[in-house]
Amino acid sequence: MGFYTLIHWVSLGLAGATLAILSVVVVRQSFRNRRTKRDAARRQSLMALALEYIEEPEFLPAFKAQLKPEDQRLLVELFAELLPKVRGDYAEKVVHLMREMGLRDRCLAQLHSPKWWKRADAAAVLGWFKEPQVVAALERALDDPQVVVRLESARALAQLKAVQSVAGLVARLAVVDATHSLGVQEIFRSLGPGAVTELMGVLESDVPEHVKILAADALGHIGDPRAVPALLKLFHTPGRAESDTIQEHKARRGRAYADRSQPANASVALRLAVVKALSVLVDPRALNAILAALEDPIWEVRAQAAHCASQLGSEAAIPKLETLLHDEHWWVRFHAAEALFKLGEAGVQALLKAARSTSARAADIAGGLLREKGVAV
Amino acid sequence: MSLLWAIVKFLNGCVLALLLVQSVIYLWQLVVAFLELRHHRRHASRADPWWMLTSGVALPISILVPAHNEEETIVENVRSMLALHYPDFEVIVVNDGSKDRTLAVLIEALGLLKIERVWHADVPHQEIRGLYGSPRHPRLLVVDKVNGGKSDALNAGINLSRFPLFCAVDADSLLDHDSLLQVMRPFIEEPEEMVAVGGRICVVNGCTVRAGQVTDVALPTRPLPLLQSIEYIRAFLIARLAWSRLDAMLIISGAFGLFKRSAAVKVGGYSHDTVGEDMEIVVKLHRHFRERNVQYQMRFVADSVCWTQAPETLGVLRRQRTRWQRGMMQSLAKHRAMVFNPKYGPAGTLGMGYFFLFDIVGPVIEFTGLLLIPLSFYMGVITTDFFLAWLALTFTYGVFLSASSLLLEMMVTRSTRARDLALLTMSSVLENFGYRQLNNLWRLEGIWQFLTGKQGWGAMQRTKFRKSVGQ
Repeated sequence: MGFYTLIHWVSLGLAGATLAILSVVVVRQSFRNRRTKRDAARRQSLMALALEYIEEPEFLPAFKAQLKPEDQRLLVELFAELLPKVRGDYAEKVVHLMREMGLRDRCLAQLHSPKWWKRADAAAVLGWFKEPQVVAALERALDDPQVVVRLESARALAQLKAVQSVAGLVARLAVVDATHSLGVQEIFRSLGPGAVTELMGVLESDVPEHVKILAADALGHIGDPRAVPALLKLFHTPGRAESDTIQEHKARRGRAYADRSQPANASVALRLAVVKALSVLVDPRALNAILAALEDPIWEVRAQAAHCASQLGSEAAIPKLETLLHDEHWWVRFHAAEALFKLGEAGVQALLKAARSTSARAADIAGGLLREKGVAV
Repeated sequence: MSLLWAIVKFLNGCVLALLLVQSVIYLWQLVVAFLELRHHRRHASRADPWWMLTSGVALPISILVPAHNEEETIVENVRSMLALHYPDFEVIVVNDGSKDRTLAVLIEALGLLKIERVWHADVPHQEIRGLYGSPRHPRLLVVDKVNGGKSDALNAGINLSRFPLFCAVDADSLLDHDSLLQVMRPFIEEPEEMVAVGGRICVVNGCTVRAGQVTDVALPTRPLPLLQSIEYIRAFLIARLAWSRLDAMLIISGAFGLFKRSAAVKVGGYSHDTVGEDMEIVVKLHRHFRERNVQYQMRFVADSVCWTQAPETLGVLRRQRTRWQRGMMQSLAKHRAMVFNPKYGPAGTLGMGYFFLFDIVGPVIEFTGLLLIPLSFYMGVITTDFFLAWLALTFTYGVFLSASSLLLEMMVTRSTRARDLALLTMSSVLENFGYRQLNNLWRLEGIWQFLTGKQGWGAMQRTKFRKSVGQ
């Protein structure tokens, strides 16, 4: 075959491929649009029917009789969207309806689908069913080869407050290398008061620092005061790098290209997580630790501690917060000024004094914040 | 004569080799983009907007809107941004020394009052004349400053922002209700390493806009915006997606990009000495983290959409394209140490290398090749058979790529009308007759402007969003 003939054939091939692609695109899209339109209409009528039968469950057999085989899929989608938006008794009624219509069993079967996204969808919906067989199925799904399915199962179990072992959850999620994601953080936060003891155990166990950070964050958000001593103990654990910054830590936490195997030193991040948790817990027992944190060598910790001090509402923090108005980091000065303002009259007086002082840093931030809040300087 | 013959033959060889390599790269990008999209769409569908809205995982965002002479569209755009679906955000509009009534219309329409806000000059910018807020819109802050250009306005916005992330949005662009939630997704997955995420830009001309929201998606009816529609689809759904997957993405569109504030501050914010501030900040981020051996990530999210007005006249389009070329060349010249340098990873070797070869050298060689066609015929370097065969090949290949991008478009936008797809198909054929050549010419003009040191943006025409834009 000559060179030109080859080029002509390639061009012809490309033209043919283009035509084929375009035909597929246009035809498939028109079919898809029709299907979308049909589904939308059916979903609307199903929703109307479902809402009717939720209130009058005695007519359920009549409702079931009206359903077509493909309606089950649409109903699962509908209820999956509806459930997070309803609460209490109404949510219970929706779950009851789903159970009666066999949708729970459909989802249980779908947990074995060869397609991971179907397994993940099923796990998410099953998070509304408290039956032991559902919990057992979700527990098994925690070992799914696909990360997303494991995360959905963990979220479902946490939602059901049915996580049997936090250590087990940590072990299963740790291997997915997603423990740093905010999604995992949210799962830990939703574990609820029942998991407090175990989460406190995690803080004292020999697990990687980032898992301890997750546990500290979760304890703060669960809001159980039992967690305060464990968090304070962690805060006072020696061995922190005095001149470290968060960035330097992150650079060394096995995330550098040069040496990924370098051991992680996340004590700064952990300390920060503890102060954040204490800010949410607002417990007077944390006062001394927070006062100490106001002098922390890491500016991020000082800034967070200033915020925490305002949450605690203790005037004992005022002298140290006044000192922080001279801090070299603007964000520390800003949080200290905000904290002083939130502490009421005594704090405002401290800000007024600083605004009139000769220190440019303190005067700028104090004066600026007071003007922002509408206080004449 | 034989020397001239050899030169002409060599240059023709260069043109052919360049086009061949470019074609192979396009095909590779297409495959990579397809794989990325297939992987991404299953994961993306899992991020339930309701969960993101209510679970507390979405980090607070400061939306920065630089505005210069935007009195026609600014109020509607600000209202649309204030109505976005997102748990915690603030909108910072920076009036960059507008000569029209941009600030006045904002004050009148939104009931703004002068306020005080304490801030720190982390990155440089021109003097701020005043700050405005409204009790009716507690999320809104309007900054009035001396004119300093888009980069300068964005820097002022960064300094005034108080949230860990900022989203740069053009004042003439509209975001979908859920766009912020979608573009936030990579930050939820990788909150520590993610430093920037880009969204997709779509052409709003032709769509129906009501109350600052695109309510009916349709293609432009005018030829120039229509041709840009297919161009945007190809650029975002093939090139941007592929570069993102290969960690070599060098541009996050200035019209819609989400950045970690601390990372932007570390690189000194937006640079004043380039007209391509969107590419410049991304390149600076790559350079900063690579030089410090710190792991970082940047991503492109295909289903997070920002709607922008495409130029409707040749004059405005020409100014835009020459500016893009100049901006790209300024960044490349500034960071020439990165080009083909393995120290900078895929961003240096693939990204910068590609831009250098195909966006700077490419247009020059291509133009030279075009000029040499008559001479080549005359000297017998090429024959009519060869010319026609090559023309057929490049033409069909171009249409093939555009058609393939429509396939990707269908994977992302599930509700595109079949009629619109047919229209896009037609424009993907038509763009080969004149539009592509014009673009190449404007690229050359941009190169010339860069070499002669031309600065500035040139005026951009803004159209008020009507019930139906561009109809």
